Amino acid sequence: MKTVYTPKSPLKNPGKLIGEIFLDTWRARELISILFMRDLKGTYRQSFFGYIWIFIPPIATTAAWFYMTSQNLISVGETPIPYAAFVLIGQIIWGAFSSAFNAPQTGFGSGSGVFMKLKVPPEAFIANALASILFDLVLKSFLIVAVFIIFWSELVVSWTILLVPFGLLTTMLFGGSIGLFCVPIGSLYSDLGRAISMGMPFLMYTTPVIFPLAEGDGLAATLMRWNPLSPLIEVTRSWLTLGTADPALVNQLLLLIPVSLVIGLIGLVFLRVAMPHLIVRLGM
Amino acid sequence: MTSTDNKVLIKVDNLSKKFCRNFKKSLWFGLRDTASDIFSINRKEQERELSHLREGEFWANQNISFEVKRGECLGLIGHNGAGKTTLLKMLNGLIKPDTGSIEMHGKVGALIALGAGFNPILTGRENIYVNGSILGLHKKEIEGKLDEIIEFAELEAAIDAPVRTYSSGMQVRLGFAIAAVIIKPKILLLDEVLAVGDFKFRAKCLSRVNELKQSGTSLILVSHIAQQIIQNTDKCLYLHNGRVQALGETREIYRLYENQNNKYSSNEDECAFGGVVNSNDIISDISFTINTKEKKDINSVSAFDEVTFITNFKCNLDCKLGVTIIIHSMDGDRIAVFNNLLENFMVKINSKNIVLFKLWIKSLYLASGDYIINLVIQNGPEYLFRNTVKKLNVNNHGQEYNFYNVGLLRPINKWI
Repeated sequence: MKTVYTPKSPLKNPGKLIGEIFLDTWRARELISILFMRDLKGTYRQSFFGYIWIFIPPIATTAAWFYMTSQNLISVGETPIPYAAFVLIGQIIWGAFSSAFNAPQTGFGSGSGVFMKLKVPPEAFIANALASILFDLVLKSFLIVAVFIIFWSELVVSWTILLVPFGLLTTMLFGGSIGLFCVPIGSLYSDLGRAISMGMPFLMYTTPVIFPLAEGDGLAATLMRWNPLSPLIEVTRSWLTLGTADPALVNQLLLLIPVSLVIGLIGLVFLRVAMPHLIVRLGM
Repeated sequence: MTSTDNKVLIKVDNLSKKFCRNFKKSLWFGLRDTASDIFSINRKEQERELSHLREGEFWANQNISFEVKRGECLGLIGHNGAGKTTLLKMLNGLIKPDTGSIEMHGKVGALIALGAGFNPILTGRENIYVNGSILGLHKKEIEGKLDEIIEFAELEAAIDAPVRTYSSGMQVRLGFAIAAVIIKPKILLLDEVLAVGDFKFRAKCLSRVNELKQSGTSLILVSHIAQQIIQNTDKCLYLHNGRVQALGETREIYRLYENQNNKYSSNEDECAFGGVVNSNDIISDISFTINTKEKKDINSVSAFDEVTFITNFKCNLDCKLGVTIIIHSMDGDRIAVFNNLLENFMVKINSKNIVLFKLWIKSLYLASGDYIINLVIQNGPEYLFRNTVKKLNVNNHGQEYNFYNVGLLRPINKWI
């Protein structure tokens, strides 16, 4: 086995680089599972309520919005399903996006102490972070069961529920890909992280999470139409609760899959190229 | 021995790496270098940029070339900031060279970050799996070595307690044990890790490293401990300001390093082993000479010479002076301390405020090598003067200055 290190860019041989990324990640599969178990045990071992903390944030947000709308403090317009169910489900799908978006940076950050000392594929730590949020999402889906029990008369139980995991995974794929793309710059400059945490709520308000899909030609409607997240949230929620979804939006959702895959692959390649430069800046 | 036994496993050729001390600029350069790796089509242009310093940059490593053969151990020495860690990181493939190339033949292991990935809340046992996996081992392999690791770390009792309840020594021991038991590389990089634990544990670590060496592993060892470098390395690379100051056989290079070391640290504000005290208005015109029976004012003596230390200075304060003469080894150990008050000797100040006294020593019985003599003058607990006054060389006939056979002392002996 011969290894050569030179100043040359690894992109001079992109095929080899991409092969290495996937081979390293495949070889690190056990590491990913061990890191996953480490974080799972570590996070909740020092907690009295343990896994209950996964359910609390969406319930709390839903309660806040339910309070504001039921007391007529703000008006969000008509929703096709009871508002509490609308917000809670919207929150869960939105959470799949936002946590998947943050996961690559979080995962990379959690491993940075190791990267600067040992040669370990960074993809393993990123995959671990994505696995953790997938685990959270699976647990959160119990909330959806609760919603169906509470509002059983007002929701449609249809075969399209079987498409919901697909919708959620596509949402995660989209979030994770963009997040991955941002890791090199986000690790160098903290500006990106600040801008994102500031922009996220705004993005949520222009996505049909808390407000229903706006209609007409107004600013809100235009923003929601051009927002790539709208089809993900709207279609997934419709599959879950209405038994049908707007075909135009479904097509947009399907289009997002190849787009995400391309962005994700570019993100992986950029990260590998940036890695030695990042390590220098992480510390000695 | 066949020719393959001497195969070169590490080949470093004209290696350079530049860094930038200004953090903001460094981030910007990082971004630019990444962009240039991604978009640069013109390779010539990129190479040119890499081989030149930009504003604020310096060479952390410059034009370094060396080879390490199978079963050979190269010591990496140099002062803090000389570029040892940078070189090690390039060898480990963590950072990319700016010029030159590295060739590594075989699996590379690094004993650098002990206990990487430890989660303090988890138990020692759980963390063995995490750390072992980060070091590239399969779960099954770790399982098979679990008992050996725990035994090596001497942590049988505490292994199921959270790592955060461990003392720092215990944590390092666990980290080392995992790495030492499971790493079986062709090439091993060691960065100051052999300095952990008590004497017994260190000895165990060293014997493990030697086992690897015997089995044909090539080693690169970074250490500030003279004994480790001398006992374990065949060759030494002495780095100074990122450049190769010297490369060659360990004894020669280490001796050079030690001599230079002494030269570089002769800073006016500090003496060896203690801050300088010099209240010029009270103590001045210090002279310290060494005489033997035959010669006057010398710097080199032998172990059995009868020597006299003559101290002479001006003191503008009429007080009961306490004078201490300390002989230090170059490693900083106090070898001998002479204090006038402890031996009921009064140092007299004459009418011209001059102090003159002598210390007669029958024989120093010191081994060949360099020593430092510090003089301390006190008025009660108050320091009036403290500084190095002499560098003494002991040169024993028939005992070459050689790390392998020199201890600290040279007693009178006889083989019968």
